[in-house]
Amino acid sequence: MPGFPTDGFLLDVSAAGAALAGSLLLGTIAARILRAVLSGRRARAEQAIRPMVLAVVSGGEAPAALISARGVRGRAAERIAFAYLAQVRGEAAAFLADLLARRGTVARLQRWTHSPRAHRRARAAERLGLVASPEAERRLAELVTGDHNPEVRIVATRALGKTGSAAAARTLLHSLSRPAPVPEGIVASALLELGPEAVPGLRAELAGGRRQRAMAANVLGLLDELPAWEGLVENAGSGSVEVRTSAVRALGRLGLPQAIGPVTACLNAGEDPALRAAAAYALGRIGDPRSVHPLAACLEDPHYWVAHNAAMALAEIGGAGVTALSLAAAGLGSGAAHAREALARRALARGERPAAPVRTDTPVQGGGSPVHTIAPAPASARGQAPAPAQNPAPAQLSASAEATAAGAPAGHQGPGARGSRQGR
Amino acid sequence: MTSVLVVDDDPDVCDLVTYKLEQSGFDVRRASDGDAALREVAKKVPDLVLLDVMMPGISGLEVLERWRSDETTAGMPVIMLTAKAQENDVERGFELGADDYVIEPFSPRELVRRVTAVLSRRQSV
Repeated sequence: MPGFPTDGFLLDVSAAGAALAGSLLLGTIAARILRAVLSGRRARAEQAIRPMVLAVVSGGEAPAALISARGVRGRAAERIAFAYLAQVRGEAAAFLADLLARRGTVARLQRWTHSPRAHRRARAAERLGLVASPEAERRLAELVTGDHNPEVRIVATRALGKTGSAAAARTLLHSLSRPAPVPEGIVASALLELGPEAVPGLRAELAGGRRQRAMAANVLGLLDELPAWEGLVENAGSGSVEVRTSAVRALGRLGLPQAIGPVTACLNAGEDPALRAAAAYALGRIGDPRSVHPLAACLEDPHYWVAHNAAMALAEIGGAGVTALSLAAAGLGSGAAHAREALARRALARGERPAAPVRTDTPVQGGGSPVHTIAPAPASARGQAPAPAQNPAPAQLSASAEATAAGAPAGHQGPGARGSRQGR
Repeated sequence: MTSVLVVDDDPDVCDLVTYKLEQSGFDVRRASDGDAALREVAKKVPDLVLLDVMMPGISGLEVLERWRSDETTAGMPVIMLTAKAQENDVERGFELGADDYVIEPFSPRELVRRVTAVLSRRQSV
């Protein structure tokens, strides 16, 4: 039959296939053997080098064999030294950094930061952050602000955070003003990594540019830097919404009652909703009963986060705040919904059963069919003291709340209170 | 000789801590995860445990909780090893009965001082 392969051709194809399979098998075996040999050499080199590096960590003199090690032993020395450098601080870190400098590793990394290959610059930056010498820090600062590759700038930012240098804080903050800066979250993480070393730079930048002030305020709050509260109060009162919001949030984290006045001022209806929401959150963190009245006034706010944060803040304040929430929960509007949510969350957080909403049929004033409303369970069902006969009017809310804060029994709403609110 | 159990999934940390403690005259045993730590302590209760918080499988906090609920290990001194980013775990560790904590990166010399301090505090009680 024309075109049908002959036996000879089929034999040739089979032989070629077998040869290819055989060579692939041999190649795989050779690669595995080579890998095992290299891995064994690496393990032996690490075994020999590790005790020398451990001795250096403890302040021992670095042996010449460790300083001059090259090839597989040299790579082992560097891998182990950097692995330990990431785990230790203080003089142990200084001993290791000195070892790496004497081996010429630091100089090589500095050269690598000028490499045309981005991955090499990034790798060098990461390791220079662990070395944390003044020269390394200078070069990292240049990379943070000047490298054309965003990934390298990010790695350099993180590395600068690991140096533990006070000067690094201002470099990081100023990098925010550069075109195409590193994402703020990464800068904030690096500043937090610097820890207390960053505080002087952060406090100085509270009087700096807009981005620097906002970032400094946020990080000072996260670092619980109580002495910075006055600078934060100044920033909460003036400047851009971003700066004021960050300062108010930080004041909340610090939780100092001295900040109540300036933070409460940020709740005013004329302020930006983001700032007002942050102020409500901050007042909850401060937890002072004096904030109950201004927070309760925000429960019906048309901006969701303002009302939501105000309700959560009242729950966090407890006592008088909870009384205010209970009063508001009896209403009908969005404020009542926020109040009920806050009360339920509070109960769950305390391991209690949230008060089940109770459907009540309340006659509408002036006749007509009853209106179905959802109201909180009776106080007795929540394990609280029975409500007094007198129903506090909304105007009495503040006085009632203050009384609770002072330890007086709380006045809870009864059916009449719901009726009166409904009638409004 | 005072025995210390070092529990950490990072072999480099284990090496460092073991070396430093052995150099200071302690008898050191190692475990690389929570299960191994529970087994080691079940075999023989050490004089002190250095316990990493973040480990694969059972976390350090869970291991501590189990030890504290067992009367043979309830009084065993435990120092928690925790990364800087997990400082919130410190509070939880103290709630569960940790005696002290060391934040990574740590100073090896300070670590030995803390181990010695916790042991001498326990002996004086």
